[in-house]
Amino acid sequence: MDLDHASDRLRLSVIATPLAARQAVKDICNYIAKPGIAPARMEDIRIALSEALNNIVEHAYSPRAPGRIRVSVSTAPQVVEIELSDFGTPLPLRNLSARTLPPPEPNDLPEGGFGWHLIRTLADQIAYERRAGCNHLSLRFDLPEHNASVSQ
Amino acid sequence: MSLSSTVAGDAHIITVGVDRIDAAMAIQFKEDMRTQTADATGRVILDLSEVEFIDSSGLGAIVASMKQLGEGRSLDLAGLTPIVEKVFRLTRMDTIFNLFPTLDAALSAQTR
Repeated sequence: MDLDHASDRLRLSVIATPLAARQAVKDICNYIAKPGIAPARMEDIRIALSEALNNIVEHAYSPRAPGRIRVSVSTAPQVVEIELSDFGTPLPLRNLSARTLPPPEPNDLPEGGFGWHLIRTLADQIAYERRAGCNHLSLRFDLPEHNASVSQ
Repeated sequence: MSLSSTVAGDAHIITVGVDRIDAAMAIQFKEDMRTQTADATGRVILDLSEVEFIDSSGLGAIVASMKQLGEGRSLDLAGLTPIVEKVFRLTRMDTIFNLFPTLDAALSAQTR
């Protein structure tokens, strides 16, 4: 873990495996967490971040040849921005387009395909760019006013 | 993966003894659920009260666990913590499973 105090930013280089992604989510959430953030909003960030990292682990890289994921996190009083970069296969752009999830059909239940729906629902802004063989995904989470002294 | 089974009346209760069901353990969870439910014939209740985090892979593993119970059989879920409840709600899977706030609520619903 590399705390870049000059720019108030957390930078991580994470090997793209499920266990390393799990640890990265923990480290990033610990970095972001502060009394001013509503617990429900921390949950949103944790869910969306987990899905974004898992997508890179499972789809951008091959499980047999996990590459690196670079993470950069910046926090401001009313916003958290998380940038994820990898050298894996490009992200299918259809994942980014907003669409509503159809109601699940009881006789034909999906076992996957929820990840991007969760990211799109929980992040306030998603930006993606393929640049020089690298995927750059940026997730922004707005932080509503929260009075930490009020119990949940 | 830590799953344990108990029987209460005609209900088979499976308790998840870990604090997360995520991508790193989803396949193992599905396999262990198959083992735990192999002999179950009645109602199956999954007690999730110790699970404080689930991701979409974990959700998919629970869906798969219900499917492998066999045609027409449902898996009831009890003790959903806030994040788990949120993931089920946002993916609309709360419309597929019977959700109960506690194991006791799930068990008493059975007698109605």
